[in-house]
Amino acid sequence: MNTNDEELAAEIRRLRDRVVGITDIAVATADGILITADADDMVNPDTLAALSAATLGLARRAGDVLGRGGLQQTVAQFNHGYVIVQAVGELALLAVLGDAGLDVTHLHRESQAVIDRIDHLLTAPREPAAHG
Amino acid sequence: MSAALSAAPPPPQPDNGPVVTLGFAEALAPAAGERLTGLLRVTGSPGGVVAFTRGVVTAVTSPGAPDAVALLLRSGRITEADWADAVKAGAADARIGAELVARTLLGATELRAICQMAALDGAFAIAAGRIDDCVLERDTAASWLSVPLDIEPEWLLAETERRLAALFAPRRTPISPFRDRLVPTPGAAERSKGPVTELRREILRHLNGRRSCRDVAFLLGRGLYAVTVEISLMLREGVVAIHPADDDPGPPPAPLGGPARHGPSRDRPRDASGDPAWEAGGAPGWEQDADRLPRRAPGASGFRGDLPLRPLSHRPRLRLRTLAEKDARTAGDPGAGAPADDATPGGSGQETGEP
Repeated sequence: MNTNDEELAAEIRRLRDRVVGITDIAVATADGILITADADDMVNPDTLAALSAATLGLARRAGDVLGRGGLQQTVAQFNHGYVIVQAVGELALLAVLGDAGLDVTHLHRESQAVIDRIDHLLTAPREPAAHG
Repeated sequence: MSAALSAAPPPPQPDNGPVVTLGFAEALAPAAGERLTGLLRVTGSPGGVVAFTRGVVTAVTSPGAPDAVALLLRSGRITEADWADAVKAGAADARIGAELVARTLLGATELRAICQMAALDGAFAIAAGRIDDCVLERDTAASWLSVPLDIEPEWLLAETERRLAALFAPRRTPISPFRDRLVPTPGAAERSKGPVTELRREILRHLNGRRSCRDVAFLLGRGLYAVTVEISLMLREGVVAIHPADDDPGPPPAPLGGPARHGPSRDRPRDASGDPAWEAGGAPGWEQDADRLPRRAPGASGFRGDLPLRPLSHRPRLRLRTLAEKDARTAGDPGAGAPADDATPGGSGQETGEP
């Protein structure tokens, strides 16, 4: 794992620690390839990545066709929790699963800086990990 | 005066200073004294909302504790299909609770008891966490279920104080309901001194090193306080241990463009083999790991050890800011509303009392 990968994992773990109610997080490419995840054994990260990409793509297309402007996030609320997908630049996404107590407003506030840093990490030149 | 709540009042803030931090108790007092109807929004971690009607509390909700709906659905008292039907029938005129009773899905007394338990748990979650600010919104409708609770604020405060004092009593093992993630210890069943109750079995089944007391309460549809107390007992018996952070992410890195930095590692104590102490089969790691205990500094909640509260007229009047005032102040001071680094009950300087 190189330095960027470690920092990416630290970013999503930090977000989970800062917002109560987050159960799982994944970062994936916009076409659904998993980059990294902090997920429970009840959730398959690859499935989360693929479904989140489909959700994001559909929402973007709907906003575009229906004249709603750029996409901020998709929030799906269920009886037992939330599935929230946010774009990371044009080429990646952040998927967050939360339980029924998740504070969506707080998550949105906290995730903005995290998304910026993830975007930076994904687009920055990769640094090899130091050995020894 | 209990040790847990021997809190000094927050220092007075000048009118043109940063965001005023009010204690939970101080914030509740004017709403009760002036028989207000509205919502008291407590920002922090986890924060929450207290709903008032003519000065009495009708609901308390917090992201830190399951609300009445979560208790009903997760525990299986109400099926999702029945809930959907009740919402369809009762949401428009805010009488979902009455619909549940009318459909004989719940008794009126049972529903009221669940709502009251959820309110007490919500207040406990708010008080056990970090409180940044309290803002009163007047004349705002509340309550999803519209169950007619009439909890006296002073009783709510006294009960919350009792719960905090019980949980953080010197003989108990302190635990953060939100931050500490737990894992069963090897041979957990043999270590258990008390009877292995259904609650304890369920808790053990769901603890995997990623979940806190709050997370388990949501998963089981059980009250936060009940789950936290049970886990605190299990912690003391060595049945569960606080899971070490494998790789503490530390504080957020420097702004983009600057050098990235990692926070100092906060490795837990390890034995000679390099394994965490709790994995070595000896004393659980939490006994030696003081840095993981909740760091509860006095002052944030505003609770006093001399409850019941004095008559309202004898207490200093604190001015609650309205939303408009808060927005104006925040606009003038962009950093005023920024969350603190440690969004946990163990955060800095905004806690409820010493353990």
